[in-house]
Amino acid sequence: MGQEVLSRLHDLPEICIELGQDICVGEIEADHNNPKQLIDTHGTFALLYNWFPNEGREIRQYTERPRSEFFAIRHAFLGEMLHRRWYAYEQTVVVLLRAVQTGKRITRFSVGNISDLEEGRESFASAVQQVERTERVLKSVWRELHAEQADWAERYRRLETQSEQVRRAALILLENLLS
Amino acid sequence: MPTATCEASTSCATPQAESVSLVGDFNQWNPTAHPMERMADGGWFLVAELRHGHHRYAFLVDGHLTTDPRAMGATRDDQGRRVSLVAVS
Repeated sequence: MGQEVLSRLHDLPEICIELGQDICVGEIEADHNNPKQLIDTHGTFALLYNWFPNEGREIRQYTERPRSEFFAIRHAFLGEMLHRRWYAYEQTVVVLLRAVQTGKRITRFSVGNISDLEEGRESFASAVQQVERTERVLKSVWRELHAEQADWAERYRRLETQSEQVRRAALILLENLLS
Repeated sequence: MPTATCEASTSCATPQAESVSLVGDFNQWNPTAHPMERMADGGWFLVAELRHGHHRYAFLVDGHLTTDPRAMGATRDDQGRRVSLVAVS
């Protein structure tokens, strides 16, 4: 259980070094009905497309799992991220956003499959928490990037209204699929 | 010093193509270095000797760079084009 994943994690830093990449995201293979995949499809990407549509499109060209817990990052890029605000959660999304915005070299590598243990399955309550957390992070990052601009407050209010609709739609779908 | 190599096989399911070759870091993206062979089912196949490690690659299908849908990874080449990734061990 998970042994295949553990045996492939060494590839992530090796890829950064051998191929001169700034970040290598390890992606666990999962079918479309995997709970984490459902949360990313209906929650994470939907919210990304609201707050950062261009970056969201670019991120999805690399990975379907932008919240992956597995990634290797080049020291220089890590230093760059540590000089910025370090968020308490959903770091991978924040790192990927920054990577796309600053033209970093990104790679996705499949690290295999982890069997879905019954006790490890995501509940709807957990999905709500994850979607709300992602939304909070994206709002904060957006404000950080745009708060210097004259019309930021008006644009923020508009995006926030849309974001609420996106989140509610995501949670309706996830309740249907996970409950 | 000798470099460890490994035979790696790859296939490309594009039966309508006129020509397919394998290009990547390992052959400096040379379109003539690794031509693929058409199989009876119309797909294309090749066994290539690659050194151990990670390689960026793509299929050149009738001159068009095409990523491998079954690749282990995805990245971009030095020109910023989307390409595939394989680990050889």
